[in-house]
Amino acid sequence: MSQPIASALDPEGAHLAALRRLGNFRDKRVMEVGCGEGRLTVGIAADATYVLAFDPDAASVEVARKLLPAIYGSRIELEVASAKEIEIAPHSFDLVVFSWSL
Amino acid sequence: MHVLRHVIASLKPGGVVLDLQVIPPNPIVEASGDIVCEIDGARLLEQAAAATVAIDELVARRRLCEQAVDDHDVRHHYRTGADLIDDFADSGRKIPDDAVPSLLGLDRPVVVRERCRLRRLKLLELECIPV
Repeated sequence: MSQPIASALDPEGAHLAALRRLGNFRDKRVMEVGCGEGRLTVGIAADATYVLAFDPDAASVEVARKLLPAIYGSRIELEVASAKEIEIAPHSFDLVVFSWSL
Repeated sequence: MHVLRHVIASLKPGGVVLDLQVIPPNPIVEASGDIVCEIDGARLLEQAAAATVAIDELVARRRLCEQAVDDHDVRHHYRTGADLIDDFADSGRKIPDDAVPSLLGLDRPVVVRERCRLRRLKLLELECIPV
């Protein structure tokens, strides 16, 4: 039986810091495309009003759901979906974040 | 381009796109601050370059306006060299064959350092003012 891989991507938070340098998430409705396991999602949601985060990888989204702190409640919505197919209302978000996903 | 247009249609007027991509050079593997090898990241870099072209097309058409760029390094930490090799087995990147033995011999933390670019683009209405 294989062991889980012991690794940590960006524990220094360089990506989130860059997102915060260029984006102001405060009181914004944010869409995160390619959220993976939600590595950036909670950091974005710390300031945002609402985050719709999605990824086509169901296993990754399941991990994100498990790791999601309950405090965020309905402020974060996680979906298994691709950017090509997801149905989104026009003019409904202030910011879109592509995380290595375009 | 189709995906990009589909997604930005969800933006309110004046909304913002933040696009995070990997950029050259190739990622570097380090152990204890020393460079172990360079990873062949061509496949991911080509995908990122294609995404950049798609964004640039919308900039050229004045649908988006680039307001700011932030280049930064991101580190992926592994417990050992073998863990790194396992993780890269199914990725779009390749560890050089001649670096595999030395990585397998590294029973200590290794780090992959990668260059990334974040672009801030504004959905254009009437004017575009760089920040």
